[in-house]
Amino acid sequence: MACHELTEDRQVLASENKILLMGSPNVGKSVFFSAFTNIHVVSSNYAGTTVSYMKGTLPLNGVNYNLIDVPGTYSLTATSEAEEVAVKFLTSNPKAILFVLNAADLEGSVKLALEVLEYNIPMVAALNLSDVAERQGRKINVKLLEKKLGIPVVPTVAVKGQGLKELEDKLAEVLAEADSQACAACGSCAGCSGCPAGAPVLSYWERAREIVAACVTDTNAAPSRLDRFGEALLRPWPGILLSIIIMLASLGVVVGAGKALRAVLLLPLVNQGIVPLFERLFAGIAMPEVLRNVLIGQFGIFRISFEWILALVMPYVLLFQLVFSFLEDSGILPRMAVLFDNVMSKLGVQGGSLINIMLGFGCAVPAIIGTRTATTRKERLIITTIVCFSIPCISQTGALISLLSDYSYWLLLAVFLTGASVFILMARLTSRMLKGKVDPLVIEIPNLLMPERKAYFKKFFVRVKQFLVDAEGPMMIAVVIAALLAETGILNGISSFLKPLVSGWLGLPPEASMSLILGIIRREMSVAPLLSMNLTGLQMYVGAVVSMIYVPCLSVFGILAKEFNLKVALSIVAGTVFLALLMGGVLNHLGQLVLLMF
Amino acid sequence: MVMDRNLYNVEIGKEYIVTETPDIKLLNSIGIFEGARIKKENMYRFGGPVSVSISTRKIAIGKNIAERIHVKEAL
Repeated sequence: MACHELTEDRQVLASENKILLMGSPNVGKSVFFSAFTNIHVVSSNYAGTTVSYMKGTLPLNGVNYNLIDVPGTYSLTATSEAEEVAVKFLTSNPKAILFVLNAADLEGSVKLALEVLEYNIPMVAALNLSDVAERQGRKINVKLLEKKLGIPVVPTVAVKGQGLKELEDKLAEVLAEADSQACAACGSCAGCSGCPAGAPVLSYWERAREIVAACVTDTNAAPSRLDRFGEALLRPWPGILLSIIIMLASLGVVVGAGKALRAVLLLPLVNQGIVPLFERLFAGIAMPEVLRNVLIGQFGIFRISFEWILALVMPYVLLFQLVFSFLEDSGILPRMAVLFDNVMSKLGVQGGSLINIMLGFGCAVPAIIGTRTATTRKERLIITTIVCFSIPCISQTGALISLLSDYSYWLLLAVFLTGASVFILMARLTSRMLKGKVDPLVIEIPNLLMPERKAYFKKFFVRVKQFLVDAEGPMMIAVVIAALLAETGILNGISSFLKPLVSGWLGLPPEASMSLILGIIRREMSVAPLLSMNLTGLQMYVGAVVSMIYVPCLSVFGILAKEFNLKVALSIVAGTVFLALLMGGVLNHLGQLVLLMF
Repeated sequence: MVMDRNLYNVEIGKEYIVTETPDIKLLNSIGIFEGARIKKENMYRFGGPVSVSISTRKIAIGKNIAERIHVKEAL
C-alpha cells in the first residue's frame, strides 16, 4: 500500500504544467480548487498524516495545466509533514503559483507569501475573504500590496465567486509572460549570485508587519454583530452557555424536524404509497410462498428496504447534514474546542479532538480519517476508540430516536447518558493504557462567518450523495440478509441457538438475535428490527444500549484496518462486542431488580 | 522593574511582549516568537487554554504550552 501511494505521489510531483494552489490553512483554497476544476483526477493521502492534496485540470491559454491543491501550512520552515510536502511541490518545477492571501489575517499570510516568493516562481495572489476584512473595518490598498509583493493581487470572495474571472485572467497573463521570458531566464541564472543564505525566520515576520502597516488602514468601523457574537462565544461566560444552547438547539432541530419529516411525509409515502404498490404488483405474479415472503412479507425486501432506509434513516441523515454543515462552516466548532479543552484534558485528550468526535455523530469513517490531524498516535487511538464505542452515527441515532421517543423521551435521555458514561470510561481507560503522550491544544480560531448559501447547499448535496453512494450498498445487503433470515425460517434456528444470550442474559425476545447479526454490517440495522417487536421499556433500553456499543460497522472495520492495522481493527470490534453484551446483561438484570422493587 | 512572567499566569486584557518560547516550531509559524507582541484575551478555568490575539489573528494555546511562554508587559 505504501509503495502504491509513493508512486502516485511521484506521478503528481513529476506531472508537467503544474500550477500550485497555496496558502495558510483555512483561507478557502479548496473553494478556488473546486471553482477552477470540475474533475478531480487524483486524490490521495500521505500515510499517517493530515497531508492530502488534490489534482485537477485548469485550461489556460489553450494549455491544460494541472492545478494542485497543496495542503495549507503556516510556514515553510517548520518540520511538519504538510510543510515538507509543500516544499517538495515548490521544488518540483511548477509553472506558477496561485497564492491565496487571507485579507482577514493579512500579516500571517503575507509572511507565508514572502517565504514562497523566495522560490522565484511566477505567482499571482488572490486576496480572499476581503469581505470579512471590510466588515471588520480594515481597508487594504491592493495597488500598494501588489507593489510591495511584486506580484498581481486580485481581491476575491471565493465562496460567492467574486473575483475568480479576474484571477484566472491574471494567472493566464503571468503564465504567458513567463513563457516568453523562459529563455532569457535560463541565461541569467548563470550570473545570479543566489539568494542570501539562511535568512532568519524572524525577518519574514518583520517584513510582513511593515507591508501590512503600509497597506492597511483602519476605518474604525464598529465591530459587526457577527464579530461581537464570535467574541462572546469565545469568552468562558457567556460562551459555554451559548455553546450548550447551540448544541441543544441543533439536537432539537435534528430530532424534531427529523421526526416531523418521517411522520408527515415519509411514513405515509412508504406505508400508503410505495409498499402497497409492490404488494399489488407481486400479488399479480405467481410464485412460491417463500419467495413471496422474502419479497414482500413482514420482513420482505420491498417492505423493509423502504421502511428502514427511506423512512427511518434518511430523514435524520438529511437534517443532520443541514445542521452540521452550518456548524462546520460558521466557525463555531473551533470555539467549542477551546471552551471545552479543560474537560477534554481531564479525559486524556485535548479540545481539538472534540471536532473529530462531533464528526463521528455523522459517521465514524470521516471522524477516524479526521484523526490524522492529531499530532500523536496515542491521541488518534483514543479518539478512534471513543468514536467506535460510544458515538452512534446519525443513521443509528435516527433509528434510536424512532425506537425510544415514541415510548418516552426519558428513555432517550437514559440511553444518551449511558452513552456519555461509556464515552468517559473509554477515554480514561485508553488514555491510561496506551503508551505515549497527547500534545496540548494549539489552534487558530477563525472568524465567525455566516455560511454562504450556495456553498452551503452544495456541500449539503455532496454529503448526502456521498452517504447514498457509501451506505446504500451495505444497507441493501443488510436488508436482503434480514429478509432471507426472517422469511425462510433460518432466523428461528439462530434464535434458538442464541436464546441463552439474547433472552436469558439480555432479556430480549429471541428474534432480537437478528440485531446482533445485522449490526455487524451497519449500525442502524441493529436497531431497525427492534422497532417491530413490541418491546417493554426495559427491553428497549437494553436493546438500544447494546446496539449503540456493539460493532461499529463493516465500513468502520475497513477504515480501522487501513488507517491503523488489522490488530487495532480486530481489538476494537472484539472490545465493542464484549462491552455491549456485558453492559446489556448487567443493565437488564439491574433493571429487572429495580422493577421488582416497585 | 518589569517582571518576567508566563503567559498562563499574567492578567488578561493586556498586551505583552514574548521573551521566551519553548522549542515548538508551530508556535513560530503562527507568530509566537521572541519579541512578538500579543494580547491575552481570555483564559479558561480548570486547566483550560489561554486565548491570545496577534495582529488580526486569534489563537488558543493549551495550558502546558502557555506556561512555558514567558512574557513581559508591553509598555
